[in-house]
Amino acid sequence: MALSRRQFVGAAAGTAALAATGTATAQEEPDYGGWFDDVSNYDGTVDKRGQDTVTITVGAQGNNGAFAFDPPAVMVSPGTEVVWEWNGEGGGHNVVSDGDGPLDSGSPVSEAGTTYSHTFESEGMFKYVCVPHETLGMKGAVVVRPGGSGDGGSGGQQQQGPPENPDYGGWFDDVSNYNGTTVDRTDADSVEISVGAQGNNGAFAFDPPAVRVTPGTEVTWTWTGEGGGHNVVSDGDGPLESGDPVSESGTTYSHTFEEMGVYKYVCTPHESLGMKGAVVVGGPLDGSGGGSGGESGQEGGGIELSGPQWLLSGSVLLAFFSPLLFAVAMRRRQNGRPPQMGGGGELQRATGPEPVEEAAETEPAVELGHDEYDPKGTAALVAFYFVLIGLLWVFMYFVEFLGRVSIIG
Amino acid sequence: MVFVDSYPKTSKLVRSEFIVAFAALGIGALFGIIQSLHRTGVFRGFISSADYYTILTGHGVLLALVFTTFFIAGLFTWAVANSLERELPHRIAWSAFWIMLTGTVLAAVSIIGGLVGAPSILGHDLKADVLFTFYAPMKAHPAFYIGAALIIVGSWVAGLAYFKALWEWRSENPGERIPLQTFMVVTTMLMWYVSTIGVAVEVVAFLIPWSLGLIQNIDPLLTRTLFWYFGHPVVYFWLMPAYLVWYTVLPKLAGGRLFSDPLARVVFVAFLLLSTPVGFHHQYTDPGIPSGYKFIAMTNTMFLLLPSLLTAFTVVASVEHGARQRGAKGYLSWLRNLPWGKPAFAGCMLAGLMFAAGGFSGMINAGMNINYLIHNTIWVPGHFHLTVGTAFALTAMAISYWLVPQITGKKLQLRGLASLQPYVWFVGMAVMSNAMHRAGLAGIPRRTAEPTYDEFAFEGVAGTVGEMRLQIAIGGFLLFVGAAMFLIVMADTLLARRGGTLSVNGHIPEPLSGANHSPRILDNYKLWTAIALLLIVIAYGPPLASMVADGLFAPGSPPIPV
Amino acid sequence: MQVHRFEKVWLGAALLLIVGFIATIAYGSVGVGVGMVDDSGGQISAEAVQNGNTGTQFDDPGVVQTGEDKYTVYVVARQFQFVPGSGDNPVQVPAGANVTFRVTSADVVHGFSVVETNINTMVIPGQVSEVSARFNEPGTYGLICHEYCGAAHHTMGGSVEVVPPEEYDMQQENIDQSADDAQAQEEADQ
Repeated sequence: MALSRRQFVGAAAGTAALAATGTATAQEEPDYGGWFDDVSNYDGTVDKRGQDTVTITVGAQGNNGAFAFDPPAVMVSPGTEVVWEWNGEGGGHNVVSDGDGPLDSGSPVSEAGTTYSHTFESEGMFKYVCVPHETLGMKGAVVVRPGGSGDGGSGGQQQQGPPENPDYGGWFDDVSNYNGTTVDRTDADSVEISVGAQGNNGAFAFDPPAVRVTPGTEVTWTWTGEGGGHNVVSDGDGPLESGDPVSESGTTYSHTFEEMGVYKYVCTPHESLGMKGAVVVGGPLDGSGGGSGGESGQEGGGIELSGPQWLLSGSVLLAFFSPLLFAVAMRRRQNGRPPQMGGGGELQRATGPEPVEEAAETEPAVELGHDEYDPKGTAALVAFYFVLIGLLWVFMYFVEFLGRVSIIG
Repeated sequence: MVFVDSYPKTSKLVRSEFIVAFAALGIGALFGIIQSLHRTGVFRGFISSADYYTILTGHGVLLALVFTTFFIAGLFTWAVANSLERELPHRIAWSAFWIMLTGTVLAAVSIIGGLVGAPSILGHDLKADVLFTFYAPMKAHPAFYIGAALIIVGSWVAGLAYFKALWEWRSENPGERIPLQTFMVVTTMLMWYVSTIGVAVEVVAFLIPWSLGLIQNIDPLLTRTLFWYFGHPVVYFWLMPAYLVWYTVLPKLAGGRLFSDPLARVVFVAFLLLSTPVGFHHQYTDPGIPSGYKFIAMTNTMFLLLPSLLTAFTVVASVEHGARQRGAKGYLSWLRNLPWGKPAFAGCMLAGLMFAAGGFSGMINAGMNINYLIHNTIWVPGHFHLTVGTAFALTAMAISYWLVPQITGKKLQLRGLASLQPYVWFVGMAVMSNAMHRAGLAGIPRRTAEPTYDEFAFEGVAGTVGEMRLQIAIGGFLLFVGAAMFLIVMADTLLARRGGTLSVNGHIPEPLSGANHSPRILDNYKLWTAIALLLIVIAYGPPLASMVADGLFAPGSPPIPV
Repeated sequence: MQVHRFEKVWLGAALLLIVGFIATIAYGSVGVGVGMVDDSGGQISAEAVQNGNTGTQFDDPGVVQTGEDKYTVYVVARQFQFVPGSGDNPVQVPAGANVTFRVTSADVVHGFSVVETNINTMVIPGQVSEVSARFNEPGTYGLICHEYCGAAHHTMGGSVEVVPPEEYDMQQENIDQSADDAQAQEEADQ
């Protein structure tokens, strides 16, 4: 299944990415279990609780065309009527529950202005698809949950603890896989950080290097088995101390953080290479502008290139220029040798191109004129070809073709 | 005297046309290896499956439209100058080059746009994932259609240069027979003019305004039919230059003489007459077209086999003559008395051999009802990689080894690599194409990024599906290596120092049966063009009339952006 | 004009080959009765197919019995599925019967090919492809869209299930039966 470019770019460009992180909303982000992995326009759950009616556009731009629901993930209060409205683009769409579920708008239709609605009474997560475009990523989900954004929705929540992107004071200056953002995992009860991820000229990185969690979260470091022996040790005073460096894949070390603060740590043998990390313990962040590496930047107007596409573009350019480069390299080696002159004389020209001569015309060993030549060999070859074609035709027509069910009218 | 010194201005034009052609070949070949690895499942890391279609469009357009047209322009420019012994009209010829190049850049940019996020240019997304055949109602960026139109128009202007040279020569040489190479160029270009009418109407009258939003709906069946009006003769636009090489140069490379000039003229006239009224054989499975028209197309196509079968005889007889002049005896052992170590010779021979196989799969394609066995399966690319992919492309590469030294004044470099290259190409193509044919018989489709389906599994006809896929990947890889070998040799030669003695010469001996033995009426190309147009009116008039009877744009479809 | 006698013989042989090809094809068509796709399906408005308001059976695609041993299957091809045909909604027809497929497109050009048979047609918006065939052996045949139709073209496939005639009628009955059961259950619940 193909990931869209936006998805790729959005997922922590340049580092070994974890699953896509969406923007956190006022409440914790529901766990969709990978449902939105191939949905290019998924950008976190939009909290629309407290509204009586919620509209979702069918045929919004996304997934290489007009193959998206907008918003794909929405949270509503029980009793809300959700209305899907077709915008007329992207061909025929429908709204059908994934597996058992109450949603079924029927056969795909395309007409703009078509609507389909459903009032959600009970709590839960209701995943749905557009059947003909499911494989492209035209999926959505409605999460029905009480509580709500009565207290102002986005922007009202107070932030507790360290700010969203704390000033690490140059801590990450030499950490190659730090991309400037602190991954927001405040929605999770337990968080995993891999030890020996790719970075810093080898497998000398923590991934993610900077992560934010809420108090009471257990952070588990898991060894990849690469990069030799690693450990997890607090920088200066601090609670983290995994012991002597070990290298075995699957080793784990956990710590539950209770107090708010910024906890910097290192891998002792590789600290000088840049194997450093930080855990930020603070309250959950609010929705607007949220997170951490989830935004994928420009829409449509700019040029987006993901990892494999840099590979492709680079290959194209390399292929284009490589014969020239190779030839130039060859030329340098041969530069000493002048071309051979045919015939006598070393006449030097003052101006004009280097003289060049054609090869001499060779006389045939046996001269055969028009009346002396009978193409016997050719006759033999074409006779063979004639027989071969005839046999192959008979085989193809009577055995292969007529041996199968055919159209009779 | 070497060609470059006799005709320096024309040489410069040929060099420019070849360089553009080789650049297109390089990028197209890179796309080819990406495709063959991706669709066989061997390696899918370069691109996503959605992007596969962008790459496929690039592969088709760059190789089957840009590489071919520019190379043929270069070859024809050389052939006319060489046989008429004069420089080509400078301004017309260069205008053609720049028009074609502009069109190429426009089309290429619109295709590549699909790989870099399709930014919106002038209100439309810059992408053209519509493949080489650009069927409506799928819609690409208008720049794609405009670019394609410019390439075609540029080729028309190039033809004007050849005709002007011919008319000037004729006024200086009244009563003389047209030299064979120029005759071949002229008949090919006339066939081209006649056949591009269809696609020009399709693109200029329908697709460009429709993609710009000036027309709302167009009739997909009509535009398809106009495309295939052009889509079959275009393969002869590729094949006839290869035949030009096989008829006029290959005998000399073998050490012999052309067996028959008159028959060569007859063959080319036959192509002028019959290439176009056969287009419906690409539409055998189309609804909306009565079977009667399909039957006429089928009989025309079968008769179109005749000039190719005659070519087989004449060309092989000429090569045999060369072997005999080297002293060979016997029914088949003369094949050994030939310069297989010379890349120009070996390439042309291997291309011809492969064409014999490709011709057979073409006969199956042409067979009206038996076509249903393999329509739109991967058998079809198996077929055309043998024909345009080898008969044309390998001949082009082979003749470049002979021609490029003459148009640059530089010796061919890396001879070992060059001698090996045709064999690498041949083996790669044999491996890939045979697997494609067998996979097509199993029903595996063409133009598909991932030919596995949830609902069922394919069964191999001769060999397993997995083994066929592997052969396609291996063959494709060898072809990529072959293309790279060729480009390295060309680059090294183009950058070499001029001078010394070349190992080739441009002398072409007189045919065994010469021009003076062929009826003068063969040179009356106005007559043949008129008959060709008449045959087209008969084959296409009634069906097109019935398609537009209910309205030019009905039953209509709006654009569906890819 | 002189033509070497060998080449004259070859010319004759080539013409023989060509005529032989045309004759075989004619035999296949007239003798064996192999048919072609033509314009018998008629035309239709693609936009109406898209919206489901053509006023024909294409608005509710599926298998319809049209005679003692004759069935017509209405198939709509769209980006990126066949209705019916794709996913868990295969086309079901009985073995031995005369089955006519009427296929049209709701959007772009598609293909309709039943794997391992010669049932192979283009599906062009605005036109209806009409092909008839008789499946003598029961089994499941794959169904493919073999004409590039967009970014997910490679996912567009399906299947045709050919069921033994006795089982076919029973299947129909079973479907109706379970639908009745479900309805009865619902009414009981309320």
